[in-house]
Amino acid sequence: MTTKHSQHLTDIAKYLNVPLGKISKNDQLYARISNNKKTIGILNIIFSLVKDSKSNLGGLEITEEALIHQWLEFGIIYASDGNSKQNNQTLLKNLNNILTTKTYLVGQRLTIADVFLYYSLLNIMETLPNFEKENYINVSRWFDNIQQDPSLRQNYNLIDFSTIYLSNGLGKHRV
Amino acid sequence: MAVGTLYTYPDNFRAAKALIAAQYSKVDLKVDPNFVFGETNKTKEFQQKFPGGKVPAFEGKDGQLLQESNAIAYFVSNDQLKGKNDYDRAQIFQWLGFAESEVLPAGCAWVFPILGIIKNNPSSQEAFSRAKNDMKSALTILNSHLLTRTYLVGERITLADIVVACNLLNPYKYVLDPEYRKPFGNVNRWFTTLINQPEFRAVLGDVSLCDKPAQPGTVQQVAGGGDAGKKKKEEKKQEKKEKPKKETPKKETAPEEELDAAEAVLAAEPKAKDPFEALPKGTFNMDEFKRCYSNEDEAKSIPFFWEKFDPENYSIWYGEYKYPEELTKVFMSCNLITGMYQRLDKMRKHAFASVCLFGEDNNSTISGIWVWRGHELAFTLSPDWQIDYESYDWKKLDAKSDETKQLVQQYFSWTGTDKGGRKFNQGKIFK
Ligand SMILES: N[C@@H](CCC(=O)N[C@@H](CS)C(=O)NCC(=O)O)C(=O)O
Repeated sequence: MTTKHSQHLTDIAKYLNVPLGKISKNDQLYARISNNKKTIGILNIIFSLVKDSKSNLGGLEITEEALIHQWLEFGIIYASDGNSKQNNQTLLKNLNNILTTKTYLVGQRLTIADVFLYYSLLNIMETLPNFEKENYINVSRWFDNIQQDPSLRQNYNLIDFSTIYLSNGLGKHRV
Repeated sequence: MAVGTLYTYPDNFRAAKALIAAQYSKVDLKVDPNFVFGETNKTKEFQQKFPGGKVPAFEGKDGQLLQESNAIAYFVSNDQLKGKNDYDRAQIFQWLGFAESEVLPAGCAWVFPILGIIKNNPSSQEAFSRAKNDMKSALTILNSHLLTRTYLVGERITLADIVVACNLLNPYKYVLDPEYRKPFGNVNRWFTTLINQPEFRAVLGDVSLCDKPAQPGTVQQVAGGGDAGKKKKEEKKQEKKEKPKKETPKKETAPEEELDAAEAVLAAEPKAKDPFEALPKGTFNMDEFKRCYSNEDEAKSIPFFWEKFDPENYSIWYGEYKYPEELTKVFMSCNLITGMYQRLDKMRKHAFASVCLFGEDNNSTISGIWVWRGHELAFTLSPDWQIDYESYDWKKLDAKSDETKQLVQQYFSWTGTDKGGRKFNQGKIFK
């Protein structure tokens, strides 16, 4: 039960301030039991946590929800631990392209998609050498924005992006 | 309780700074409904409080008096907007200075001649051509700053974002066409995110970015700023004149972005036939009426409507939103109406409507008067038009009855109350 996805679920529950319930894994399939209700599959579990929290991070209407769905799937499939370096590079490259024109993954506000992807990318970003952060500048910008929320970051390290700010005009200092 | 009163003409981008800040800090900042630009601010009484008589001007509930939009916005800001430490606060000042000295002069010199706020003359001409370059320099600085940052200061929305965005509002609406703004992808991203925040939308409504380069004198003046006094009535008129705004700003076409599959399919689809085509044309000229309605007072346009209306081939309907209990914020309800209009875009040619919101936050209703070609419920003519109409109760009106005359009068002139006595709050015209 120490695999990465179950850690993400724990983190998300904590961020949303809802009880996680009991998480189990059988045949690659995660299940959550909470309030005598069983939810199966990571995606469904994430949505059920969001629902429990009564936040609107899960989308306000069907299209938004569908897009969030899509990003969660993307995160589950492509941003898992133990991927090869090459895999990660492809992931970052794609994400970097997409984030050229976007502030958040879905719509114009933070959703559970950003939250989940933040947790999923933590390891990758933490081990990314500084010069590479500059290669994935849009990912870096997005990640840096997301990680500023202490309740979301919890006990994880604040990843340093300051070197990439040196490359352009008005300096950015962390105080 | 209100923190105070703001004196301004409507749609003033300077006043918007304070109004948006007030949305973030959740304070009630009232705009004085009786203020008439060019009159109120010329009175001795006003100028005693506000030397120079410029707007926006602010009077706090405890008698605090303030001028200068940035100062007013600062006063109504919460801690998040003001910056979390001295360095952040200093940076916010830096950007306010930048907004006033780098963005605003270029923006005004470029936009004002186009809106007809200042007359064309040799010196404005010179400023006009210089402005495009000055704007480029300002946007270049912003663009490189925003390459690595989501917001201007401290990774969260602050007063710096509000002020710089408000100073860029008219340029983005009227002159920064897609070609010009293309190199400034980071600024575009940042600006689009901001104008779509609920706090910005509550004040600015839907902002659509400029899609064609405008030339001097080609855009109807919609923002104030000239010296002519504007009566409330005229302002209302002007709002009507604006074409119904798009629900969401146009998608940025950054070089990397490709049409996704669905868009490609849509783009490839042959132009759909006009579903009204099959119905007899009749004698009522919809465009002619719309022109009259936009340009004339209702005292003229409503009689004109009855004079030209062709009851044989056109019908008048009353539509009322079925779920008023779900209506919360006024601005959200207005988005409901404009959203519906947008989805009905292809219906415009042969239809007209005035849909009004009555009441206030958490106690409001929506209803409207519609006119279209044919005698059937027009929404059934096309599958594209069926998203919203079932949320309304529809009643066909007898064009000859006095009750209908009264309803048309009321809805076209944006007056009166709904059945429950709620006062008219806002109206939107489908044309
Ligand atoms: N720097 C001031 C400028 C205010 C200003 O120029 N207001 C104009 C309208 S946009 C005005 O009130 N003019 C009236 C007059 O000069 O009599 C601010 O940002 O508030």
